[in-house]
Amino acid sequence: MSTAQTTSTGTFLKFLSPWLVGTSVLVLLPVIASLVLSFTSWDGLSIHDIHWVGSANYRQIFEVDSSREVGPNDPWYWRLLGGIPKDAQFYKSVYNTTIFAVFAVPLGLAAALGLALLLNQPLRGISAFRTIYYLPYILSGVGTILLWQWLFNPDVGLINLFLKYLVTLWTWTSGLFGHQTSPWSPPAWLYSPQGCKPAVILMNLWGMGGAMLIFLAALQNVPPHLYAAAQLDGANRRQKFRCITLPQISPAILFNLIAGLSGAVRSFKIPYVLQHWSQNDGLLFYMLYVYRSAFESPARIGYASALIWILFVVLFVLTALTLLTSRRWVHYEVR
Amino acid sequence: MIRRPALLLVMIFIGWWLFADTARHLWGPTFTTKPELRFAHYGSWQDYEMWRAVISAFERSHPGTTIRQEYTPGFGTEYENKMRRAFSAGIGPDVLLVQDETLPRYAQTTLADLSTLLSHDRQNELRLTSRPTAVDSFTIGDRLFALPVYGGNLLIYLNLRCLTRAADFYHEPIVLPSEDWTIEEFRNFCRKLTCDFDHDGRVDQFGFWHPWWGYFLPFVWSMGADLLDNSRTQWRFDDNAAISAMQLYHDLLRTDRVCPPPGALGQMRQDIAFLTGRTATVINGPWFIPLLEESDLRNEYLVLPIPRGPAGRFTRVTWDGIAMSKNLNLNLRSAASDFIGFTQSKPAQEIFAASRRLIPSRTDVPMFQSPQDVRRGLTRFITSFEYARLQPINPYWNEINQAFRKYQYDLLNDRISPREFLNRISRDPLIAGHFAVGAQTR
Repeated sequence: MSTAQTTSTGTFLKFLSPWLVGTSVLVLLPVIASLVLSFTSWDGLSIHDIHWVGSANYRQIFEVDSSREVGPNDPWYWRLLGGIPKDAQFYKSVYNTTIFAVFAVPLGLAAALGLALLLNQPLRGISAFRTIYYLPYILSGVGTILLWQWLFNPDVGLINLFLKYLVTLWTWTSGLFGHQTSPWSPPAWLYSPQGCKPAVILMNLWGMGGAMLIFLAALQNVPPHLYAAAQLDGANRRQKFRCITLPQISPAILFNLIAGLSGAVRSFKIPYVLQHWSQNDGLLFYMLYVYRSAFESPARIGYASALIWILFVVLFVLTALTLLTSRRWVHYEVR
Repeated sequence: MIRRPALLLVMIFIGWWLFADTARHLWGPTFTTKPELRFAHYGSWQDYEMWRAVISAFERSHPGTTIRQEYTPGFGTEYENKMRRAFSAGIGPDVLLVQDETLPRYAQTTLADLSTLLSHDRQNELRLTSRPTAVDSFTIGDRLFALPVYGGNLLIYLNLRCLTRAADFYHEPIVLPSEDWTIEEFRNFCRKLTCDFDHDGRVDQFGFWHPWWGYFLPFVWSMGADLLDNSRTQWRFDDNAAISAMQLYHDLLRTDRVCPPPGALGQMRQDIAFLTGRTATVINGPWFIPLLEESDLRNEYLVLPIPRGPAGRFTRVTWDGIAMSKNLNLNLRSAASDFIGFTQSKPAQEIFAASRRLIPSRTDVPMFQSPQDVRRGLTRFITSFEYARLQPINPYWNEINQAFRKYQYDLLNDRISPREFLNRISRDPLIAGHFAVGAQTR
C-alpha cells in the first residue's frame, strides 16, 4: 500500500471513528452483553451477583406443567400447549401482541393506502390536507395517548357520547316501527379485557401518517403512461388499481409491512401508558413484559435478556419470510 | 499560526464542559475540603420544599457541610428502581430516603447498619421517643438500616357534601358513625351514601372507593387474617378469616355495589372522585390533607376511624426512613451521621409536622391540635397509632403485590371464588418461591 493510500485510509478511519466508537460502545457491546446475560441470573443490583444458569432462562420461558389440567376459564391457547405454562404471562404477552399485530398492521396499511390515494388527487390546496393528515404522526407521544384515553373514557369520552347518540337514534327509529330495544350499556374500552385491544388498534391508526407519506411518494412515481395505455385498453378504475397501482407501489407496501410489523411487535408506549388492572393484562404486550421482567421488582435482567433474544429470533424469521414471499408479489422496475 | 492554539483552547473548554462534573464526582475531596453529601429523596413538590427547608436548617447549624439535594419526583417503585440502578452502577447517593416496604430488598447489599453507629442507650432512647412501629419498620434481624423520619396511617375520609346529598335524596337523616363502629355498620353507611340521583340505572354517587389491596389491609387484619406469620417466612393468607376478608373485598364492589366498578368513572383517580363528590368516602393517609385543604372542600370533610371487625380494629402504618450508603469514606460518613442525626432532632421534625401531611416519628412533636383539626377528626391520625400495625416488612413485598395484582381481576369479576383466589396466590411461584406455604396452615 502506498503512503498516499495509507494516509487516505487513516483519514477515512478518523472521520469514521465517532460512528465506529458510538456503534461499538452503545450498540454492539450492549447486544453482546444482553446475549451473555440471557444465560445468567441477575437482579441488576450488584455486578458480583451475576450467576451463570446456562439455558435455564430459555427453558423456564417455554416450560409447561402438563400434570395440571386446563380449566374452562383458562385461556384457550393453554390447551394447545398441553398444560399450564409456568410463565403464563409470557404466553399472554405473545397472544396480546399477535392479536394487535394481526389487526393493527393490515388495518394501518389499508387506511394509510386509502388516505394516500385520496391525497394523490390533483386538487387545490391538497398540500394543506397532506400536512393536516401527516401532523398526527409527528405529534405522536404520551400526550396524544392521554388524549385518546379521554376520548375512550367510558363515562365522558367523545367516542361513547357519539355511540350514545347513535343508539338513541336507533332506539327512537325502532320505536317508530314498534320494536323494543334492550337497554344499552356503553363499552368500557380501556377498562375491560374485551375492549382494550380494539381501542389500541383504533388508536394506532392515529400514527398512519408515516406510512401514508411513503405510499404517497410511491403513487407519485407510478408512470402516467401506464394508466394512459390501460385507458386505451378499456380498463376500468378497479382494474387499473389492481393491475397497475398495486404492483407499482408494491416495494412501498413491502417496506411499510416490515416496518409496521416490527413496530407492532415492539409496541411499548401505548400499553405502558394505558395499562390498568381492569384489563386483566389485556394490554400486556411483549415489550411491556420484557420491561416488567427487567426493571420492576423482582428485577430479572437475565430472564428479560432471554425474552428479548426470543423476540429477535421471531422478528428475524418473520422478516425473512416476508422478504422471501415478496419475490412473488413485489415488482421492481427493471431499466 | 493562531489557529492551532485556538483549537486547543476550544478543545480544553469542551473537555472541561463535558467532564468537569465527572472529575468532581470521582475526586471531589481533592478539589474541596468541605464535604458535600449527596442526599436522594422522592415525593411531591411539597416533599421537595420540606426537605429543602430541612437541608437549609442543617447547613446553617453545620457550616462545614453542604448537601446536594437529589430529588426524584413521584413515589414508590420508580424511585426504588432508580436507586437500585444507581447503586448497581456505583453512583448511589450517600444518604437516601427509603420506604419500609421496599427497604429489605436492597438494604443488605447497599445500606450501612446504623445500629453500629448508635450506642445502646441512644438506640433505647430512639425507641422511647419514636412512635410505635417506627423503629421496627427498619429493623431486619438485629440490624437497623434506617432511622424513621415520618410516616402515616390509613383512615377513612368522608365528604360531607355527599352525606347531605344522600340524606336529601333518601329523605332521611344519615347519622355519623360512632368511634367504635363495625364493618357491618360501615357497609350500611356506604349503602346509604350510594345514590342514583337521576334514576337512569347508573350510580351517580358511590359510597366508597374500592381501594388497592394494600390499602385494604386494615380490613383484612380486622377480619382476623394475616399475610405472614411472625417470622415472616410462612404464608398465612389461606385460612377462613382470609376468605372472609377477600369476600368483603369482592362484595363491596359486586354485591353491595357501593364502589365504582372499573370504567364507571373512567380514569378518574380516587382523590378526584372524592373531591368531585363521585365517591363519598375513601381510605387514605394524612398525605391527602394538603390537597383537601387547598380545595373548596376544606371545611366539608371529616376523618373517620377504621371500623372494627371480628378480630378487633387495625390500621396500616408505613414509615419513611433515612439511610446511609454502605460504601462511604470516613469524612463523608461523619457528615452523613450528622445529617441523619439532624433529621431526628426536634427542629427537623417540626418542619415535617408543619407540612401537615406526614406524621413525624418523634412523639413529642405536636400535630393536629387546633380546634378546627379536632372538629375534622384529624387528631385521629395521632390517636390511631394505638391500633396501628406495620404491614409485613420482608424482602418480597413487590412479589406479594404482583401476586395479588395477578389474580385480582378474576376475583372481582366472579371468575373465581375467594377460596380459589387464595389457592392461586399461595401456589404462585411469586409466593411459593419465597415463603413456606401450606405446611402449617391453620
